[in-house]
Amino acid sequence: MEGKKLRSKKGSERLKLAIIHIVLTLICLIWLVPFFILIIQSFRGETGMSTNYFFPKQWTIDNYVKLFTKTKFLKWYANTLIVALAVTVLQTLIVLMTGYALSRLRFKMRKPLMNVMLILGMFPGFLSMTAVYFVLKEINLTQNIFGLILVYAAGSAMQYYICKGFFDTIPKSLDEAARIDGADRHTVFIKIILPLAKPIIIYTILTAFIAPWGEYMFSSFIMLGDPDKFTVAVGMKQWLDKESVNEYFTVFCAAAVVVSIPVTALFIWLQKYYVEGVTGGSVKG
Amino acid sequence: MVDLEYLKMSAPQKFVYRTKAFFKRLPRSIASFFAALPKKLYGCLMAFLSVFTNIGSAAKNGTWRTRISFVAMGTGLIALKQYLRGILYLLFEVLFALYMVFFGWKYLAKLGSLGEVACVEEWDDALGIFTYKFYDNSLLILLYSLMTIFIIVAFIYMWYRNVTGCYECEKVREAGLKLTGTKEELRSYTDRNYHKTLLSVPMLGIVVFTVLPIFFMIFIAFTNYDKAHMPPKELFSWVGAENFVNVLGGGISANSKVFAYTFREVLLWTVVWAFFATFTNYILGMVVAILINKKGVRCKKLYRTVLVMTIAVPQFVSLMLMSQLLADQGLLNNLMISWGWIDKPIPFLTDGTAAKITIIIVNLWIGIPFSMLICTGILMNIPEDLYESARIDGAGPVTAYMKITLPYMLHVTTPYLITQFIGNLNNFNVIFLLTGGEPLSLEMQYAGKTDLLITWLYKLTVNESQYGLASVIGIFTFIVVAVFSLIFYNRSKSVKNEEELM
Amino acid sequence: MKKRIISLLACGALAITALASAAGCSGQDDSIKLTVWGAEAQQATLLEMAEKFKAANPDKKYNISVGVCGEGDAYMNVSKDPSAAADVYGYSNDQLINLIRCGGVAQIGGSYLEQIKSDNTEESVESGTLDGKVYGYPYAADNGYFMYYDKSVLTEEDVSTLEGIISVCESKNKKIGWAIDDSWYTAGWFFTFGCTYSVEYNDDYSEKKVDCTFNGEGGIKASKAMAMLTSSGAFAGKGTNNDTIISGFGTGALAVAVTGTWNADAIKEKLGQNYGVCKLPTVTVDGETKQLSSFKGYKLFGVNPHSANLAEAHKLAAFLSGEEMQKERFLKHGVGPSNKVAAAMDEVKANPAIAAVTEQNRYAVEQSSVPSNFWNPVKAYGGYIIDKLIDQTTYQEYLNKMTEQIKSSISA
Repeated sequence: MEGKKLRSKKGSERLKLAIIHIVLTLICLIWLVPFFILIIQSFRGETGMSTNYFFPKQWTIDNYVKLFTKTKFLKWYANTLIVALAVTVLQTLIVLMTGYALSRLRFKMRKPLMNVMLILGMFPGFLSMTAVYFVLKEINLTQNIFGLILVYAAGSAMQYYICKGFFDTIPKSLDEAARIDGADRHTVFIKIILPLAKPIIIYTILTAFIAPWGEYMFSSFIMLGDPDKFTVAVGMKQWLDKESVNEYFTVFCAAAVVVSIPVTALFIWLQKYYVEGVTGGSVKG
Repeated sequence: MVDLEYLKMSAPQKFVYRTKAFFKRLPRSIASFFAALPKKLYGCLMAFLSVFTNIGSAAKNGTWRTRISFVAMGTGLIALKQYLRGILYLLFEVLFALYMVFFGWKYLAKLGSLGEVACVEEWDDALGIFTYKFYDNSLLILLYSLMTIFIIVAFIYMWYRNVTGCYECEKVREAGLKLTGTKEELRSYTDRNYHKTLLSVPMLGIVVFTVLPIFFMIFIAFTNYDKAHMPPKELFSWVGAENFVNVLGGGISANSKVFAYTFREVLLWTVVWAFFATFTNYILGMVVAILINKKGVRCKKLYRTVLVMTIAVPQFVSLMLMSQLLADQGLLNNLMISWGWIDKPIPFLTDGTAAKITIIIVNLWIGIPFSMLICTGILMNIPEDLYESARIDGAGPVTAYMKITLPYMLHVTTPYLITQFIGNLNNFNVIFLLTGGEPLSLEMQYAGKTDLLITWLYKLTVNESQYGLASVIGIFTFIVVAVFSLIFYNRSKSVKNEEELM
Repeated sequence: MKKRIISLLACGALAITALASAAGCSGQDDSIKLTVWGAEAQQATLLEMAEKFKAANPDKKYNISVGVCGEGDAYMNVSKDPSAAADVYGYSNDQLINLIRCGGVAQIGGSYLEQIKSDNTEESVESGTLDGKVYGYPYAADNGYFMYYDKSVLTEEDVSTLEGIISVCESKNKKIGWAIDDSWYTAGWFFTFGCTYSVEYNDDYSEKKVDCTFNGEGGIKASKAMAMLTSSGAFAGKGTNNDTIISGFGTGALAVAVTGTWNADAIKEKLGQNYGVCKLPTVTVDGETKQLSSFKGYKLFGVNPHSANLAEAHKLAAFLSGEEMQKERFLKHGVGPSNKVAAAMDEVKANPAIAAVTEQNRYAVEQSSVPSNFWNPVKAYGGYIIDKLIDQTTYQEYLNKMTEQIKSSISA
């Protein structure tokens, strides 16, 4: 009697697990469909997008050849890479500094400052795009990679939130012990907090590095009409314009694959820290 | 309701109760928010007045050193051998003067009129072409005037600090104490004043590239900057509150009514969208996380990795691909037609209602990985013995989920939910890249049935150059979102108990 | 660890600064810098033409760069900051009024004006004219649309009437690609039945008064005609565009499509021997048969008044729109010339697509001085017809709504 019950329970448990595995596999497949389509289409010999068949009639690598030889993609790629690297460095520094200051230091304007930054983040950014553009223009940084870097980095302090949350979870007793030993606040930041902040540093690096690859609005405005200065998002977007989509859709797919691979690889590699950073930081305000 | 009854409720009931209570309290919260304002304002006023008394006492009681600081900033401090601060103040004053003379003044002087002559066209016989001279550009006048005002405010503040700082030093010296040396002064910036060191650069960035542009847009709302008044060809001018009246439906033209209607419709869909987008992602993300976390599930890492990959691919790539796939004559419809499954294409993105549903579903594809990640981390923190004791009490998995998992998650992730909600109110990418706001509606102006406020604003500015009106809508949106989220944040527990939880 | 991170960050910052400054600065020289914007498809041709311009003017040193901006997006890009826009750019003539308003286009006078007036057709020069002032160097006269069809499905007789096309396509299970939800194509149906619009401008070119008769009897007839097409099983559906048309002919799903010369080469390649073109068909509504009308327009080169080398920019624009370059543009891309000599070339006359657009243009309406709030309401109305949101009983009501919106632009 007993044994049977146990066995049947075990059996139902196993069935449950099997179902869960099937569901999860299905979910993963659904999530992979767009990638699959991108990769398949990038090897398609026929141009155009609105086909009524899925697998190419003609397999080719011409799209990749065209991408690297006939378009300015490599230039755009280099531009985006420079911007992404520079923004990563600046944004990481700024976010860490802001996060630490708001989490650990106590000063008069702290609360209002946090509220103000929170509110500022809600203002629809592109409404002020014209103003940003002309501020940049006054310092001669339009149609210039520096301008783009500056704009991206300047707004990054408003992303202090998750970083501050993460610092909040580090026990304060650590700081206090160091302070008693005579360390100043700078030393505490560098020697005590930063070594513990690896997940949030990597999280910030990842988010900062990814953003420029997908940002379209500011970069298209600031690089207005100068194809040598485009980022990949701006350049690739014009391939999907009405006039060029038929000719360039498969090239677009090839470009998307080329853009996605390194970023995805980086992400998979650093996934663990990303998860630690985001869970550590986002649950605490 | 007494506490006991509350405790007896199941988790969803509790959640509903709390949500209800939140909205019941909302008017009071808003009221108390505004009721607290006078007190805060009074505090500000007092602080402001104290500035004058401080200056007054510095002028009356200070020696010649303080008094020359009134004119030549920093000189008093230099005389007191506070070289570092003194020289910096002096340098600042010189730079400020140069800025005003060579740049600031010429714009500030025209702020009232926003310029007189914009552009002059002349026939040049020698070259055989028309030549153009551009003079006043209203846009630049407004922008650089604002910049100048910012700098003037900064200058006044520095001037005040210079005067009072000098006076303080004098007082310290009179009392026979030693003044802090330059070295010590510098050292304070790694300790006592460390926040200044850390925050000055980030704040400068925010002021120049966020605050200044926002002020600029607020002022634009009071001008007639539109297609017919585009600098540098034409000037625009101040029109008072005309744009506000138009957006609220009080304008004379029939159009103003259409515009007001559009605003209401778009606002409604924006809120509905933000609600569904936030909660569908959250709940389904949590379910996926629970499935993956379940004991006995293999390849946990693989599942997670596959989902996380979507975060790494630029959104514009995946979204544009989706929009092409789901188009009426896109791959999906074409395939289904050629297989004979359907006769007419399914209007995934071209029928108002269908498009709204499609958008929310596609958004799941984007959002679930994020919420899955968040939930995974937290789920692992729930003490296992809670489940154990529930199992002993005879609770099934559903009950356990309702009684333990959900309340715990909701409690811990409230800040995350709020950020997500606000982020979705301003979620430009998903709508713009998927449908571009379409299908269009004849009842609305410059807007389609799936337009959010933010995409509508984009069309009004980038396509229609209606900057004045767009700014008004931007301001309204901003106020609503800001007030709500401030109240939300300041009520949410984890913020309130910041210090205790540490 | 932290030291490594910090030193890494610092090194990165240094490296990037060096890289970016290397990328940011280029050597100073005394050459005349000019920028040209043109459509993506013609980038290579524009570069070749720039070389020819340099060869034709060996006395000066030019540095000409080429950027991408479709003729239809000229206003959107130029208006962002005219002083940073190209010195010379192509635009379609419906954008003229907006380009003038934002100060993005310079007036042409003197010998340049005489030259374009004597070389080009009167209509093409007129399309770049407002209040007697000329603002553009015309270079293309084919910015209109007509019909492409698959000869293996339809005969020449079939394509002369809409009814014929629909019945053949229905019986042979083929589709008709017609962008009823794109106002440029939708508007033609209204013109067919005598609907008109007109705009009066103030001195600053803001709109004084907009007239529009799209809600008259003609509007009802146009709605019925469109509904006849869109309710047919042969109608391809919403979202017809260049890509669906070319791909559709490629897969054999489409038998008929309405579009312009810019797709001619691609469609020819897909259809091969069965490539057929003609003017739009006639349509019969309430017993009355009418030839379908369309929009016609021109493409012109505008010169940016902000150009640092304004005289040189005019010279370049005149060169790019000259006879030789128009011929070349036709030979390379099948662009229909506005230049009289170029248009009279044998090759042009023998080109079926150009012949079809010229034929259709006889029934077409010039797309100049379009009301500022025209495209959106008309597009929305077309969408309503396709989605069957409105029918005979409600046409009038929604036509009124559409017309109301067209008449009242919010500004001015």
